[in-house]
Amino acid sequence: MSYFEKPEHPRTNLASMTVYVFKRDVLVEELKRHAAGSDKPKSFQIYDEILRA
Amino acid sequence: MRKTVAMVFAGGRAEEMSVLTMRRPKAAVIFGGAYRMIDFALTNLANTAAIENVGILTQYRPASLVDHVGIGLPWDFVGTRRGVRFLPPYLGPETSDWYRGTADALYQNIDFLDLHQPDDVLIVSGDHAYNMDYTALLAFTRSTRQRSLSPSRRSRRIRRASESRSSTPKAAS
Repeated sequence: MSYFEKPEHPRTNLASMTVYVFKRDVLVEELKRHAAGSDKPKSFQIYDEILRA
Repeated sequence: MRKTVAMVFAGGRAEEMSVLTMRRPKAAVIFGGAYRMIDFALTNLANTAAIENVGILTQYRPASLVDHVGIGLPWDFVGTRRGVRFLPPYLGPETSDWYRGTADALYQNIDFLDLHQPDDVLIVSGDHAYNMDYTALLAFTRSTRQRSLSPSRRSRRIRRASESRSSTPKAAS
């Protein structure tokens, strides 16, 4: 499965509604882990940093 | 019932929407003359029994969105255990920054999650038009977790795989 953010020419008519469910402790742990490991990145996104990591 | 808090992303502006988002975020764009885009998300959440508290993550020109949502009365998010809270970027003693993305918006509002102590966090966009009761999604997610974590189920699966391997006749060489 692959994911493209707003592609100019979509290869399919399937789209993500960006609905996510996380266990709170897992989400908080991941957010803190990524925030601690990064030196103020330009962007900190759920899909790029949390789900795809 | 496991406690779930919803976080709604409502801070974005879309360049491609031109003048529609010149003075308001996408979530506050007018829909059908009387509604705003965020009405879909809030109505979906109001129709999901497990959701009692909602955090709305705002950033770009939130005034019209705040005016529209108010205290969440139209969606019955009012009460001692129910509520809607706007979560804009803030200046603090240690952290002060604009949200640098969806994950950063959540990271800067971990206090909100700690306050409500939910078991699960449901994250939705405030600018999508669709009708959905999230109850089935939450139930499916929990059942999937239970299945994946259940040691007895896992050991049964391993045993079955092992048995099938040992009973499969080997190809003649």
